[in-house]
Amino acid sequence: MGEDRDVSSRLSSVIASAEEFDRFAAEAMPELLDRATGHTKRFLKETGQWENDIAHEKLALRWGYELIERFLVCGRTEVPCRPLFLLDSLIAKYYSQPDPLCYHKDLLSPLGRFLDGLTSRAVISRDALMALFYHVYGFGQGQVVKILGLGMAESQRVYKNFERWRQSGWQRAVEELGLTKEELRELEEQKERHPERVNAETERLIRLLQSHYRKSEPEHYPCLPRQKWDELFQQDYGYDYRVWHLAMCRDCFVEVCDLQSIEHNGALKPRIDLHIRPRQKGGVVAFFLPEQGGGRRHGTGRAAQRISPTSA
Amino acid sequence: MEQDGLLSEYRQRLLDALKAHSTQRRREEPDLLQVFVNQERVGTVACAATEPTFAFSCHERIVHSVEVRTEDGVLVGGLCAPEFGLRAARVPLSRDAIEITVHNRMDGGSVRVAYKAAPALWHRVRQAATSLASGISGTGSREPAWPRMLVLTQVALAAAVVVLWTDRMTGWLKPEPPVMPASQVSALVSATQARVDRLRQEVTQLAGAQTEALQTVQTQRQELEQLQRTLAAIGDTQQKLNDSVLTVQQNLGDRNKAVSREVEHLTRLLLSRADLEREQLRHELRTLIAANEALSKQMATLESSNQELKNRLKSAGMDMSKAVPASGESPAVAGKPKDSAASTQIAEARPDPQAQPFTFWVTFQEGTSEESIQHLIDEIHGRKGSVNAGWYPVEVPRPVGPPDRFLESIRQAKIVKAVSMSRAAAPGQ
Repeated sequence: MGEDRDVSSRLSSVIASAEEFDRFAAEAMPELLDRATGHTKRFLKETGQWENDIAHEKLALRWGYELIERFLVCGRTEVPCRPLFLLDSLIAKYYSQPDPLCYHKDLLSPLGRFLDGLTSRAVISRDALMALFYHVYGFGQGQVVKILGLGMAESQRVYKNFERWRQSGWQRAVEELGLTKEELRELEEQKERHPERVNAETERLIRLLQSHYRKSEPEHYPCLPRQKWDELFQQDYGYDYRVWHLAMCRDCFVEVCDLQSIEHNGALKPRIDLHIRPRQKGGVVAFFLPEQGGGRRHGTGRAAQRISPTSA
Repeated sequence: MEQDGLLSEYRQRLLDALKAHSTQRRREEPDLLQVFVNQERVGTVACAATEPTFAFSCHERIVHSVEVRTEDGVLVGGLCAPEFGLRAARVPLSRDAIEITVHNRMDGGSVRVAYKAAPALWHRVRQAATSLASGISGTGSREPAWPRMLVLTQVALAAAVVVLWTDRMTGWLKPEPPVMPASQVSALVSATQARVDRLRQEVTQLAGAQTEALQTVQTQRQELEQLQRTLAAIGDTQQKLNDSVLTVQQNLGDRNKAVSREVEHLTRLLLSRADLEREQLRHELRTLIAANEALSKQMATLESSNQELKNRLKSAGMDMSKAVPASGESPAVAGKPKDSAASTQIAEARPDPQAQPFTFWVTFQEGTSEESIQHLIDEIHGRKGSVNAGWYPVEVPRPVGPPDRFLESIRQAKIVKAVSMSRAAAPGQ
């Protein structure tokens, strides 16, 4: 009890400088996370989107985490302040928006959570954005550069994005999503056993997610008709537009792939083909499943899969 | 239990990630920064560019928040924008920094994000040299142009001196020339003299140029100082203007609030008054209805009494008409039944006690209502006359049985105080 009172008094006391704020944040991180999670739960309950299960609990924790991340950065610029009230106001401001969370019951399954986490990460990370082309369509760096018609400097960046995503981005995203090793393994097994079913479900969910997360694009990034896309590629401008919009809009991407197929005299079919793990270096996608029990490696006859050398 | 374990594990992982982010943020040396305004990605800042700055403005809506993230999504800086006005923040990033400026106006907001790289080693050395030069010449460090010119001039002078000295030295170090004729010697001397004169002129020119350069530098410095003063004055004016705008807006807001409060208060007052008046009117209406009903009842009672009186008058008239031929009295006397004197005279004038009505006097208990009295009179089918000192003359048609018993029965009524046969026996007569 005494400890609780101490924490709450610390949270509501005045913080005078940015350094003090950093010290405070480091000490009171668990309390801050719990408070943000509590607010998220209340929001979900009050909007009739709550159920007492672990998926909802994880969703609340994840959103609480995102809010705390913003609080830790913005709070430094708000000193002197009372951190508790600042956090509450930040959360209230966030949840007072018309559609703050992408909530759908189907997104609480492991597949839904994986796709949701990936797409929401793509909003803030260019690495994840470029990786979307691989995870959803199976396109490698080379194919992405070809389809998006990028210049030299932009292409270099795409390779860099893929590399960084492979090294640390994917792992961090999965950890922040709360997907367990068992869930990932289960997903991979499902994909292996019933690829059509999983891909169909992915297509359904990805449309749902894209329509929500495309709101993070600037307002001047609307869907374009085929003619306009053609013009944009012919006149060689709008790299940012291509990258951000096409990763988040399946219909436009299909249109552009069709256009680029004609341009390059080759078939670029953007079929949904879910990939759980990031593309491995050297064009080999290794499905090394996590170790379990006595350290035995789980795998199947297709543990290592060679992909098209053109995309490497 | 298993779920609780999974949850606490996930929570711990997120806490670790938050701690790792704050550490990573301090060590980050990004090559590209993404700028998010109101959680929309609006552009990027290439940190290696010559001028790593990004500016964004939006019309019709203000800026609520600015976030700066690295290419892999790590949030490295951010700012909650004020609803109106300017706010700036400097976010340290490893040795470098990000400067975020937000300006919200009535018609929209604007954002400027600048990446400030820490200066390189050579740049720092040059800066130090410049500041040293500034220190020597006694000027401030804010104008790096003129000290550089001074240094250049000094270097040029030094070079000229070195050239002269080299020229002299090479002349001295040369082997002794063979003896020349006097004309050649004089020609050589004059040539050397000419060269020396030319060099002297050059030195004089250089000294003049240096003086000019110093004057130019002086003038530039003065102009710069003037410019700085002007800029400071403009800054002050702008600040004052901003303050005035803010004050005016606050005043306007306060006035609007006060007016709206007053209007609201007045409206409330008027409404409450109207409610009160309505309530009063309703009450009065109810009272009027009740009074109306009471009046209607009274009117009905009066009408019935009137009818009864008419009937009695009719019957009395008939009696009188019967009595008139016998006594020879005028019929007008019979038309005044309520006149007690006349009634008494008539009663006393009747010769036949069997045909005459029986009259007696009665007084009632105090507080007895007229209604009760009338009821008793009606019971005995009598007719009462005007009250006189509390005594009522009552006239009944021929009573059943002897008069004494009749009077006794009357006396037994609760409301009756006393009964008398004759007017003379009544008290107070």
